[in-house]
Amino acid sequence: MKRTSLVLFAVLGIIFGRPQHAAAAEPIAIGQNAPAFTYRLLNGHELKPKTLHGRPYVLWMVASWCSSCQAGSSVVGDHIADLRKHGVNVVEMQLAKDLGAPGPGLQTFEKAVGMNSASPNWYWGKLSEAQTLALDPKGYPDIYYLVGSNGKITAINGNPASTWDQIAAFAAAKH
Amino acid sequence: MISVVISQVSTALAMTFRGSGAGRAYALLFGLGTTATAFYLVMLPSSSTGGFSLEALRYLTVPFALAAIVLGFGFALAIAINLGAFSQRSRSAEAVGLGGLLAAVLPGSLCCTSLVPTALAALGASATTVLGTTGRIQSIFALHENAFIAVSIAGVILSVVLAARNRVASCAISS
Repeated sequence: MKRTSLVLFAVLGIIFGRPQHAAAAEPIAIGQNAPAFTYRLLNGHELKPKTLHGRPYVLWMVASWCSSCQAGSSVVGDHIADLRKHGVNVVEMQLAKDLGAPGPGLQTFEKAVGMNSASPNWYWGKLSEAQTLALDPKGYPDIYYLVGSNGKITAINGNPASTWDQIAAFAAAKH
Repeated sequence: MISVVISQVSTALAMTFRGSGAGRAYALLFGLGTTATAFYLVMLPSSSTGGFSLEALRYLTVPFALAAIVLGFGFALAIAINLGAFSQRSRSAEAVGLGGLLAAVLPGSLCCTSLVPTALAALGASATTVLGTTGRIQSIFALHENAFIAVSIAGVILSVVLAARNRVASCAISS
C-alpha cells in the first residue's frame, strides 16, 4: 500500500508539475533590465540592442528538438501580424548546442511556419553559450521574457502555445 | 500461437461479460475506460503545450485519439478481466498494463518542461552541466514520442492477453 502511494505520488508529480509557470526559479527577475546582448541571426546578420531599444519585444529561447517550441512557433506565426500592428518584436533564439542534444535546427521551425516567419518583426537566431548561461541558466527548453519598451522584463513564462493569452495581453497593453 | 491467444482472450471475454458478474464488468469497462481515455486525449498531445493542459486538445490528431482509446479501454478491459479472476488475479498483467500507461505519460510530461533540469539541479549539477545534459534527456522523449506511445499500446495489449490467460487458467483450476 505504501509503495503504491509512493508510485502514485511520483506519477502525479510528473504529470502535474507544471514547469512553465515556475517563474521563481528564473535568475533574471521581473523588473530587471533585459541583457543588452548583440544576437547572431540565422540570416548572418546581427541584432544589436539599439534595434530593440524603445520597443516591446518577446525574447524567446528554444531548443530545436522541443515539440512545444515548434507548436509555439506556429502559434506565433498565426499572430505575428497582430504583434507587428502593436509594434511588438519577437526574438526567437535557439539555445546553445540545443542544451546538449542537437536537434534539426531553428530553420525547421521557420520552414514549418511558412511565409509569416519572414515578418520583419520576427528575428530568428542562435544564442552563444555565454548568452544561454545568462538568459537560461536553468536549462529550460522553452522559456520567454516579455520585455517592455523601457527594456525591463515584465513577465517570464514558457510554451506560447499554451500561454498565448499572456503574450496577447502584453502586446495589447500600452508601453 | 496467435490462434491460442485469440482463443484465450475470447474465452476470457465470454467469462467476464456473461453471467453473474457481467454488470460489474461492463460498469468497470465503461467507467474506467472513459475516464482513462479522456485523460489520454489530453495527455498524449500535451508535449505540444509543455505540460498537462486542456489547451493540448488543440493538438489532438486522429492517431493520438485512436491511441488514447486503445490505451484507456484496453487497460479497463484488462482490469475487468482480471478482477473476474477473484483471488487468482494476475499481478503481472496489472504491472504490464500500468507500465504501458506510464510510458505513454512520459513524453508529454518530461519533454519541454522544467522537470528534468530542476531534477538535475536538485541533484547538485552545476548550471553548465545542466545546460549540457538536460537536452540529452528531454530530447529522447521529444524525438521518440511515437515509440513511447507504441510501446504503451503494446504493453496494454499484452496486459489484456496476460489477464485473459490468467482468467482462463484460474477457471480451470477452480473447476
